Amino acid sequence: MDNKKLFLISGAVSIAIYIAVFLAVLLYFLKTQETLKKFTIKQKSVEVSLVEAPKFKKIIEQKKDKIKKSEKPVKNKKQKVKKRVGSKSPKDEVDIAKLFSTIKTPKKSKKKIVKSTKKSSTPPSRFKGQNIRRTESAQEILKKMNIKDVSRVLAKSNIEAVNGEDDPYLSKIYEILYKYWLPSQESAGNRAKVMIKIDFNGNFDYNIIFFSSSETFNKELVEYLEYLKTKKFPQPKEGKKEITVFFEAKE
Amino acid sequence: MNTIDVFLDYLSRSSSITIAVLVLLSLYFIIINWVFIYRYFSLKKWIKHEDISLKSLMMGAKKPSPDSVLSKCFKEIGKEGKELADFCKFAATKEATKGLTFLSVAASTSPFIGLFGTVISILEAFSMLGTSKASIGVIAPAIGEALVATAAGIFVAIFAYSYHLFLKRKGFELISYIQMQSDLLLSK
Repeated sequence: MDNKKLFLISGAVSIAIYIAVFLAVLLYFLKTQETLKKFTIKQKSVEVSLVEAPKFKKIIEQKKDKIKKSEKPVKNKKQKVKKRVGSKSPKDEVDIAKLFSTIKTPKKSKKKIVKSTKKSSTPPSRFKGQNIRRTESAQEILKKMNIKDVSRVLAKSNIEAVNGEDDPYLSKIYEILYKYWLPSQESAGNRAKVMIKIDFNGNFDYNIIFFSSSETFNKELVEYLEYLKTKKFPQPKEGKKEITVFFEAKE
Repeated sequence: MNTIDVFLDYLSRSSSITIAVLVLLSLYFIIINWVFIYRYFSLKKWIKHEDISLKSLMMGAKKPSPDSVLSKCFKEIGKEGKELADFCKFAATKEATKGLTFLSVAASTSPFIGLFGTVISILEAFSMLGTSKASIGVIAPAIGEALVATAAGIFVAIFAYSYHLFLKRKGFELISYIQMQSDLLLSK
């Protein structure tokens, strides 16, 4: 082979090697990223990043009012709930049974109902010997509101649909997400991007695309998303749904 | 996100110095591969000719084969002798070690070049830490990306040094063949 020809061929080969190595390195890094967070952003996926949502604000305000009203009859100092700042998982909430254990109900018929419930559930030892009376109405209100930690200091939560607001399914999802999203004031001003997935059974799953700079907010968000996993979502028509959502705690 | 997006995303976050460092290291990598492939095959071919010539001399031939460098050298000068054989040997050594200097330079300097790019990137990452209320979550990826330049430098150095040693060995083999031929010729 002629030396000149060999020179040119080796040049071409070296460039080819360079490109191959370059692509291999890029693919390696891409694969590493994908294993860290498995998510796919479809073109259809909905960007959610609310700034104002008046409809939902009203709900939150109503909830707050109701909480205040329900707190008034409870005068027992021992049962004052300490203010908690930071994230709380739904599991370690203040026991509702203890909260409203001292409420007296005037009607006899209600007393009977309370007794029957007492038998079925095992009350905590410190209440033994006491007359534990539960007001059904208070329980119902709390159940409806689905707020378990009444003393939680709330920041304004925000989830906003940029696209897909007309979609009734998506609006249902936003409603559920917004309903339970109660970030603490400590994490206010932070934002995180999450890819949520709802399978054909209505099971919820998520992948956090990027976290916020606040660790408190991130912790709260993860706890909240884990909590959402226990919830049933409306079943998507197309079998599986992936939505990109911005979770934000406003100042 | 595809590969191009990953690459463009990295470039958009890198400083101009880091990009320059990476471009330089890329050039180094292309050139060292070019030098190695060209020199390796040309030396291999040359060694093959010298081997045939040596074998023919050992078999009893009075002159080296026409493809041998000694034969060409003697033909050009028109004489034969110890001094001329030494001269031809030095000329062949010079030709055989072409490109080795560049490989040596690339092997020793590319880690430093990569390190330079990393230091600049880390400086920028720390300046970002000073200006904004960035947490470790923000700084850690920036430092991780800064280390790409060092990794690239070391990667290039590994190849450059290995190629240098390979070609040095090939050159040594070639000169050995020429030396053996000249010794055989002069002993006759």
